[in-house]
Amino acid sequence: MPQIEIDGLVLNVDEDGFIEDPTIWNEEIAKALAKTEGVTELTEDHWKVVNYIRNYYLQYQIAPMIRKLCKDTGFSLKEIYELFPSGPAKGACKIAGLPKPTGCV
Amino acid sequence: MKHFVVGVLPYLTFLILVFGLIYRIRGWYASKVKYQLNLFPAPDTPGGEILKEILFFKTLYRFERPLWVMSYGFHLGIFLIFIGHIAGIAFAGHQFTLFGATPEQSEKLSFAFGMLAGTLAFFGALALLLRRLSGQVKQVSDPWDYIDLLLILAIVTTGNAMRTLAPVELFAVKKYFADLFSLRPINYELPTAFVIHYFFGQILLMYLPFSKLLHLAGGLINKAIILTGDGKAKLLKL
Amino acid sequence: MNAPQKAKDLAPLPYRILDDEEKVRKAVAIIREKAAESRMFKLAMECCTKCGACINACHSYLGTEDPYNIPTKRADLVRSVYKQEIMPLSGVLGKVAGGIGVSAELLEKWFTYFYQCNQCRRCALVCPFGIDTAEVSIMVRQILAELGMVPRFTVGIVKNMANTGNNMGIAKPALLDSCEFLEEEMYEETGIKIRIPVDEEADIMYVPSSADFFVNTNTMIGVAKMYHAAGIKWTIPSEIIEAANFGLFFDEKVMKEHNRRLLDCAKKLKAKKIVQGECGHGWRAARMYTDGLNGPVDVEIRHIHEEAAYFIARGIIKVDPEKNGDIVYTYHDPCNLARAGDIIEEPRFILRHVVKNFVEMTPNREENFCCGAGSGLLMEEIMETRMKLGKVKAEQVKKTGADYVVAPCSICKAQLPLVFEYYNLPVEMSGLMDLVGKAIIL
Repeated sequence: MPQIEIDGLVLNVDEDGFIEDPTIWNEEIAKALAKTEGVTELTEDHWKVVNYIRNYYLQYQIAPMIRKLCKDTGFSLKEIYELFPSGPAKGACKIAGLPKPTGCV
Repeated sequence: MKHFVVGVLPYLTFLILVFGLIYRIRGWYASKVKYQLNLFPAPDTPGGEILKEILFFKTLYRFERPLWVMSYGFHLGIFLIFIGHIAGIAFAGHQFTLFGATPEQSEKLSFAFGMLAGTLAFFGALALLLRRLSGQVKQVSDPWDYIDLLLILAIVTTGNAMRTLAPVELFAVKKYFADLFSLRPINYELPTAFVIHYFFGQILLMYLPFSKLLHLAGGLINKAIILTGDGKAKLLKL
Repeated sequence: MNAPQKAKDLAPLPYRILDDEEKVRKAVAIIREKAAESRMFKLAMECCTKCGACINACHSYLGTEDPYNIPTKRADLVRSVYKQEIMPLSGVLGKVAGGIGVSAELLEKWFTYFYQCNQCRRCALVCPFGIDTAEVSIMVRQILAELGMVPRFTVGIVKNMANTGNNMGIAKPALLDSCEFLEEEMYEETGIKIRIPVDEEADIMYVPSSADFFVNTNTMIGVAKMYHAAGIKWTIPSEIIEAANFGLFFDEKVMKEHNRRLLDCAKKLKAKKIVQGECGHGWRAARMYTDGLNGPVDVEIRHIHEEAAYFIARGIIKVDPEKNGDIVYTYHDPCNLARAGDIIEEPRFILRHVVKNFVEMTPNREENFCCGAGSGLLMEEIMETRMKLGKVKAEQVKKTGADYVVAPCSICKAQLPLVFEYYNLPVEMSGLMDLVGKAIIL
């Protein structure tokens, strides 16, 4: 199993760099993962998106629909891409400690 | 050697050809078609499309026009040669008397058709060979693709030679085949040009069932799978 | 050489990882078995004359310029073994004819190049003998699966499918939440209560793509609005909100199981008609393979575009093309919908009714080129290859000058925006039902 080390934090990740065990997620891990997705600093807006995705995942074991994410956080898709350059599915979900969304996406 | 080629080998060739064809084609039909694999738009029955494919090489005409010219010319030549051999030998050049020609006229017509067929097949094969030697097609060719074409060229060239440079008496050939078919001993000499041509021809026939030259059958069987619709009605005719 | 990552754990597939020696030992027997199971595969192995008609017909070769992506040369990777080991007179003619034995390196090459084939069947269209490299590709991927070589991405999807009944892994509570949200969205937009009924008994069982509950939500909304306007009772089955049947690409057992699940759900919901959503290969699998897999069946299998075209033609729903604006739309034929699935004229009929400006791209209909992700080539790690595979498509779209590409297939929908961005094409993209949803008069 691949491992990454960011700022002294060692994480077991899958081949796409998503954490293997979503239950270990915490804010420190989110900050570390953010660096792998080109997000140097997690602002309040970032956290709003990340926490929304995280909570949705804890409730439903899946990422929310992008449309619902936008509506409930109040960000447009464009704004989300500005916050997470690699997009909601890859970037935001990774930072929120979800498994990589798969299928025809 | 000569005797073997004209007296023994033909029976062997015949057996290998017939049993080879049965073996190979049975092998294809033993393999299953479990699903509907047709391409759309597809007719409900493949007959018409298959006929267009046989008569006109429709797919090549539609997508690869330059190759179609070479291929169609070549195959038309081969087809005429096939018919010509049967008719020309059975009637020793007098086949057109059936349509009211005099024996002399028939021989001339027979010669003309032979020239046409031989020319088409020769230049067709040559064009296909040159095409294969150049650029893109070269990188998908293997040695056997060249050998196929060279063998056919050898047969066509010796055949053409027998019509032009070293003419062979058709009555003698007719008598030979009559003897061969009646299982009578062949205890006479036949022209060398004929024997060479005949030898290459038999090699081709023996090799045919085991090679991709059988695309004439396999290709059509495959095309039939692609072209067979399932007759399921559309919700809306558009 | 850009190959997908291989799965290290194949569960729930009934195969296991083999060491090289075992793979090489087993390969020939499996090829032989597949040749007996598919006449088309056998004929492809035995009858290609190397005429080269497929060379410039293949977007994979045109985009990557790698000779192994020429359909016949790709097939040669396995044909060479077939000639050597299985053809009559094998071994004798084999070596002269380019025959070789199996090796671990060769199997790796298969894995690379048969996962650079989109199984689009364009080569079958142009081949004078109809030799279908897609069928060869399906068979070789099957052989590879039985030798324990499957992309990690694909196994992930099979796993999700087994656990939840869809590729994304959406469980029923999430589905219900999503449907409720979309219903609210539609209510906000129209002031009408339009439902997305889940697991209700109905004549029509609609099978969406699970991606419609993540990114392509407008497709789902379009369908819901349409059935609402048509006044027809319909439902979606929570146990299989997935038209896509990835088994078609690489494994018959997976395909059969998916198909069985589909039919079981239809029975359970007392549906008379299964309507497949915007998914290309899923449509092919349902339309063309159901009889062979689990047939005969008494349920009617239709595509959502057949339904929409019918409703528009009969005046059952009314649409206003003004609502989709003045921009120019073009249509991308998903390979499995058009060539391999007979949904060719319906989308055009619908488009001409729901938009004002529609231009064809060239070539189109059954001659269209693939988006470059067909056959499930959506892996992140082969992005570079995917962009090359999408090159011809990008050129096609550019030539139309259109502002908007309609691509009614979830794989195309996932691939095309990336291709357009990569090739700097400022075009928008969506499914077709999305536009029906916008144009519909409620």
